Amino acid sequence: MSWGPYDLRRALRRTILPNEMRASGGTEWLVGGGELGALVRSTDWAASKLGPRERWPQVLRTLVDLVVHSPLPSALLWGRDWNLLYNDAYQPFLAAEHPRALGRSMRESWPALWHVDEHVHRAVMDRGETVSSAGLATNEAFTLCHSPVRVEGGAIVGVLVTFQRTAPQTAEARAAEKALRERKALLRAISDESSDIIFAKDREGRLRYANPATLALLGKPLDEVLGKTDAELLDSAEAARGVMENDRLVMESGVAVDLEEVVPRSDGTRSVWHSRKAPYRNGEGQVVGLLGISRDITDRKRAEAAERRTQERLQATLSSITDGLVILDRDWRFTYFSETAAKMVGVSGENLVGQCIWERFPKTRGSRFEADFHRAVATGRTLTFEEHYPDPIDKWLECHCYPSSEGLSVYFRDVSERKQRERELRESNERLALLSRATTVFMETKLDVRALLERLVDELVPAHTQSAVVILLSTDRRRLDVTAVKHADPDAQRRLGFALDSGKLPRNYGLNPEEVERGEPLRIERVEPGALERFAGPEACEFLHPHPIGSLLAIPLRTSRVLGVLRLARSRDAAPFSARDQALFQDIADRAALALEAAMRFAEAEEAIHLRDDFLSIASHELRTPLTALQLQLQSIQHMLAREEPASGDSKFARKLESSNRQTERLVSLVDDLLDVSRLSLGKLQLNREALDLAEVTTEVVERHTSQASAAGCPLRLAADSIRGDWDRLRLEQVLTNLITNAIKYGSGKPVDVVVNGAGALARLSIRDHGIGIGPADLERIFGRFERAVSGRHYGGLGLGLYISKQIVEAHGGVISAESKPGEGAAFHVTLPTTELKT
Amino acid sequence: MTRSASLLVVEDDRDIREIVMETLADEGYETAGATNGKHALEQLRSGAPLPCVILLDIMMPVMDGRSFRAAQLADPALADIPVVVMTADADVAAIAVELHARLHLKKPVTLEQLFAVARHFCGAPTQAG
Repeated sequence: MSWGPYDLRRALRRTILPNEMRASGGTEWLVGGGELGALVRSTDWAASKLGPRERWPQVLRTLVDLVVHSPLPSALLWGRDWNLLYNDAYQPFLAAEHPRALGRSMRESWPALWHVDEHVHRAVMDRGETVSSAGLATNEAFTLCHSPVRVEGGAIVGVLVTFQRTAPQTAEARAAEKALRERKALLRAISDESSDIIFAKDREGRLRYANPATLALLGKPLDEVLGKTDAELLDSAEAARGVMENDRLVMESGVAVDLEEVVPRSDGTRSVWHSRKAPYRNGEGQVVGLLGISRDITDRKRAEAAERRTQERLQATLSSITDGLVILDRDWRFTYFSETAAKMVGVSGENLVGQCIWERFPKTRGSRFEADFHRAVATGRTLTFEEHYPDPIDKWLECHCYPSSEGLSVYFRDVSERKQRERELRESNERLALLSRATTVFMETKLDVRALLERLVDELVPAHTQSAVVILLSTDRRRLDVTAVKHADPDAQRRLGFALDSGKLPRNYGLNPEEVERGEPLRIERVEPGALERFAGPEACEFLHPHPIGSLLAIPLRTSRVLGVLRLARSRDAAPFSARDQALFQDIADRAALALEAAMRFAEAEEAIHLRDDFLSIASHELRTPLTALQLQLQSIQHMLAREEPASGDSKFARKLESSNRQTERLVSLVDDLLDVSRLSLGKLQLNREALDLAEVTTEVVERHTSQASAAGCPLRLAADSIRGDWDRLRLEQVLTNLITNAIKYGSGKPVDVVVNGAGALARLSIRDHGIGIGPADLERIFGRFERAVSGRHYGGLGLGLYISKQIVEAHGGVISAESKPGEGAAFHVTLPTTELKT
Repeated sequence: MTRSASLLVVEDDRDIREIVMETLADEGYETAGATNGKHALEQLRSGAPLPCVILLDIMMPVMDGRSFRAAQLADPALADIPVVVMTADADVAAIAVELHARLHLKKPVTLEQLFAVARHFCGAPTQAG
């Protein structure tokens, strides 16, 4: 039996008819009645549910008699089991079931019998209604009438089914009915074959139709479920309440709904159903029931839940990683933007999915981000890079790009701190390197102001600044002078140099000395219009103009005093001077200033030495002129006296003249020494070499001093072997004179030994006295300028003799040394190469 | 031009010039003096007898010793007159070589040196002073 929507409609179109039928009585009954009459009589009913025929109640007998004799198809459904009794005309409806169907329970045996259904059964049996309906059987149209069979007291004991042939139909009606039948069959087939459960319920929630899937679900045959509510059918009262509540809402609202219902299975597991429930209306539009189709979506739900859990896990995983992740499709639109990523770039809470990266983050355009993302996609290769994204993100991002056929996944992390540390380290290293290099440079060139400043600006330009200018204060602090200029652009450098040389750009660089003297640093991070003029003076600006200046720095060059100022300028493209830069350049400037101070002092000292030596040179030259006149005059007087009064040699007059002459000679000697010292310090000592015999020269000088030595009680003992060489005669005489007069002077009245000999390419000269000697500490310094082993009070002279001797000997490529023990005299040794040593 | 037994002292410093001339004159030599190179050239070209030697200072105003020597050497009439360089310059020896001078005297000059030079170039004095 099936109960599709059309059957339902038919059922709901039932009409309730009054029934006055009564069972008729009789003792011997059932005569005739055709084949079925005979069959009733021949059947042994004792084994059947109806019991032996003799004991059948009267009403049954009457009705059976009535049925078997009816020319129209008729049937009696007896008892609650609807045991079937029928007539010959009814036979065709049973087809192959005849004659087995006789007396059998229709509800057990032929639930599919087309004209009887549970609905009819209930309407007739339970409520005593007569139900008539239209139907088709064996290609004939009938009106069926189901009438309750009542006994005394009103109890209904069976249903009498009678058929009336319906009036012959038009061809159209038949066609329509046929179409209807076919539609019904199709719908039934769909309903039967559907894995979805299809059902209908009445207003009270009683099941009126259930397809095989529904029955399979309930695990019960149809007759056990029809007419029952969910409360009776479902194991879980709670689930039943929920379902029935849903049903009631649908019917009360009259609106179809889609909903999910959870129903426990008999094994205790939960099943989830997707139900489409629609109100069912009768011809008057009243809601009389409910139609429903439900699909078990438990598996789908489970899969969905699993998928959701997977997604959640993935999401959780993605969220938990500290890297940001964005996924881009092939059109560079975000398909995923992790929360970490959003936080990192400051777009939390914004839905970026679907947005184009180049539009949402426009500064990626033309940057390394764009280039490398494209490269990763183009090559299909994983790629890693670091790049800074400017404001408003202002972060260094380390990006790992993973291209795929879908697009590009980019993991990235904020490495700004590391970059900052790296930059600081690098800068610090650079600064250290610059400082140490600068220091070295300054030390190397410390004695030349201009060279030093040029090295300074070379270190700074172009590595650290576009241009550098050093302007120094003059010694009198009243003038300024551009001492070094460097510009990264050679053209600008030339222009500046030319402008300075030609006077177009004043040497003071447009600054005033008082301002520089204050020694205050000045830093302008961003040069506004007009600032340049304040900084460099209008004339300088004209020359700096072709290279727009972004930032400026003025660093004072100062030690205990301000020496000048170092002016630096960076172009607009470069990073502006920072406070850190200022500190660094001040550091460098301080070092430069120290070196500069030393260089300036050195230059001043050198200048002073030059002045002194020039003075000495001129002075000694000038002194010689009157000395020449004086000496000649004295000697001339002596000469005249000796010639005119030969006997006056020992006179007081002659002795005074002799003394005057000696003093004059001393004066001449001192002047000579002074001049020699100044010449030596200027490196002007030149030798006039000639072939000489040292023994010969020594002998001459010894002879010249014989009288002086005798007077001092220090006889000169000479032992000279001939040794020839190329030497300067006058200079050697100077050395000999100096050493011999020293020996006489300090000889304490004891003999002085002079020895000359030679060995191969060397000549040796030794002069030894036996006087007071020289202490060890004095031995080391007696060859220095203005040094003497004894106090100047006891002995005259400037102490320049040994210094000059040393210079002369060394100029010859020789060596002079002294040995002495205090109290045992002193010896001076001179060794001279016989030929000029070419270096 | 014949050469007399006179010495020409070319020296801008008046004291020195006069003392040298006086001393040599006392010794019996004829002397003449010039205050600078130009003056000396004028004298030499005046037609007077040429000196037997010229004592030449180097640093002088108007015309210094070097220029004089160059002019003298360039003048065939004067080129042969021997010159003794007499200067306070320390490099007197080098200057003497440079000027092709026969001798040099470094100031201050001694009487002995002066007499030696006079004897060498002009012979014994004609008369004792």
